[in-house]
Amino acid sequence: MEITKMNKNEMVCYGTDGSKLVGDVEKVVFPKTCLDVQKIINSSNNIVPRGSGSNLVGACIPNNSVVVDMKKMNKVTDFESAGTSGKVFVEAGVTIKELNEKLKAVGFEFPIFSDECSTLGGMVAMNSIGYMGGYGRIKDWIEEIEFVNGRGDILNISKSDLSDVCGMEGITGIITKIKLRIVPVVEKSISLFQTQDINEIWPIIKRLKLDEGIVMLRFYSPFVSGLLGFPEKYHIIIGFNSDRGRIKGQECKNILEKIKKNYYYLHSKNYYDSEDAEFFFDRIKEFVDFLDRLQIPYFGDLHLGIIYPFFRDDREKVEVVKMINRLNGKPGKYGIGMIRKDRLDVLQKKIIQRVKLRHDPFVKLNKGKVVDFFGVEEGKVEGKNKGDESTDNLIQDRLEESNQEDSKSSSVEDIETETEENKLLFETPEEKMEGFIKKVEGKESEVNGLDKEIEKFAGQVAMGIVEKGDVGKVVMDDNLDRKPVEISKSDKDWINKIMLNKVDEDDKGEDKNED
Amino acid sequence: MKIEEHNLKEEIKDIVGKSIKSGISNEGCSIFRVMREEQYSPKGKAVILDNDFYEKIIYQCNLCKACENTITGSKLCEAFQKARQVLVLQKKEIPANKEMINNLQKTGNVYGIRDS
Repeated sequence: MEITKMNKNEMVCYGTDGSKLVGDVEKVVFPKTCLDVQKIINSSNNIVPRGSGSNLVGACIPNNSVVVDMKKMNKVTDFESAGTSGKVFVEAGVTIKELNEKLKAVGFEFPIFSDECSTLGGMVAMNSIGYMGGYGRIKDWIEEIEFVNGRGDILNISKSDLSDVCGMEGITGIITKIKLRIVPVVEKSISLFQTQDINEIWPIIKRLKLDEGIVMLRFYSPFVSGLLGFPEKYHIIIGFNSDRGRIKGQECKNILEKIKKNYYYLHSKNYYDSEDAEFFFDRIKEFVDFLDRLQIPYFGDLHLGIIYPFFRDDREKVEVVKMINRLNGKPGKYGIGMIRKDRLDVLQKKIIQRVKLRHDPFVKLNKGKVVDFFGVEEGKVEGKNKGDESTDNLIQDRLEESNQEDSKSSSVEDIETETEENKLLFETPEEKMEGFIKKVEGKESEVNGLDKEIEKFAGQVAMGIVEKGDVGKVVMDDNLDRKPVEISKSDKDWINKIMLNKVDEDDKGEDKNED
Repeated sequence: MKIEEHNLKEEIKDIVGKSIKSGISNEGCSIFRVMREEQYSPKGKAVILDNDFYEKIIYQCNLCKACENTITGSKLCEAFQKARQVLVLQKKEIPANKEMINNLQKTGNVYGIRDS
């Protein structure tokens, strides 16, 4: 393991990442093996793992922390191939560009092409996606992960437990080695679809999404299309992992290169800030209409349902974020980090807190990222190392503390929880189902009650006790506790006569005359 | 501070600030690829300069322009050259730099070769 010889002034570059945030660095270390990482975790209490530091949400901003730079763990250790599939073992500091250069020599590639300088450890920690959304997220391509958790244990995580590491942004442990699936290199091709009318886009997209041969569905607003050198219309760029597309060869490569550098085209026009809202398909249209109304440039990955709007100033961003929340949009690509902790809902927070507690009960790793760790003041854990205290007891204490906090907070937030939406958030699925059943049963009884009333009055109408118009009145009034209609003595006699077929001839005559 | 140094620093800040905002790609940098430490990367050097720290690490650049982004029009190598001027004004030259200047004065080439 190397400890840096750089001076304090040079260390400032480890205090930043792609976000605007800045933090203080205590020291920087460069582990070369998994055991080095274990040593660091056992000897420090405030650790920030770092890959290439290209995230946009402050996921590796230190707070007087030891920065663990993983870039020197850069070996591709093993490679297996069997026909059209292959697997590769890589250390966490290998960049996606380096991996693909090595794989190209043996006719394979890793299809999640993100920012080329991103390290694979960082990509796994952020659960990255590439510009070809059809390949999904990196999590879908992982077979196994070796990582050192906050307790200092070296673990091999299999497919079923990947969510303990993927997308956790380094709060549960430091990834050291990854086993990835790879695919043979295939010549790609693309087709373009352009239109002035946005309503033409949606039915086409629905159809294209069903085609398994399509690996990329990028959607561009007229402004961004113009920046990329296309006519200023709505564009869909359809990517195929075969030669089905119309544009092939060098022309195709040039367009793909432009797609990779979308961000730079927008930055060149002073659109430095962006969002990454992920929606269900039916909400995308509404969001895109909203962006068009505000004349905000955007592009999107329609495979994953992510739209990236770009802003010049914060006012636009505030409006768009409000709209994203209204449409139940979620962070799609950039992650949570330090600046978007409020985007997680209560359930997601709870899950992340539980996973964090399991792997890093002393809160050593990446403090202040993704979730604020409940019930633990940072000062409390300072100076505690592995073996200072029974971990299980500590976990139990923390859970109790968290439950107490929850009960406190719920009493404070009583006013907020009165709304239907908030009630639903705090209910368990079973409670939700019970509530739903009660509601339905209640409605049924209401309906049954109403039907009985109607039947009763219909009978009375048939018997001539109540006039027909009154039934309508009863239904409209919807008054189920209404007293039964009192029947006069003469009416009762008349009913009895009907029932016993003892109607007087005079009465019959009256009826005829009435008819 | 000399006026020349002040002006250079202002110019450097302009270039570097814009480049950091636009996003600097480290992928093409040959030095970063070998050293694998952030302070040797174009982005790392830009952050150091943006914080007004003038360190000898700025000499660790080949001025190959691989980090310059043609789309955003960033000119990082120009900033690094200017930063070296500031370092010379601050008398923070490296021995190799002094030797090169000596060689240039004596032989006309930076390597100090007299015979072909």
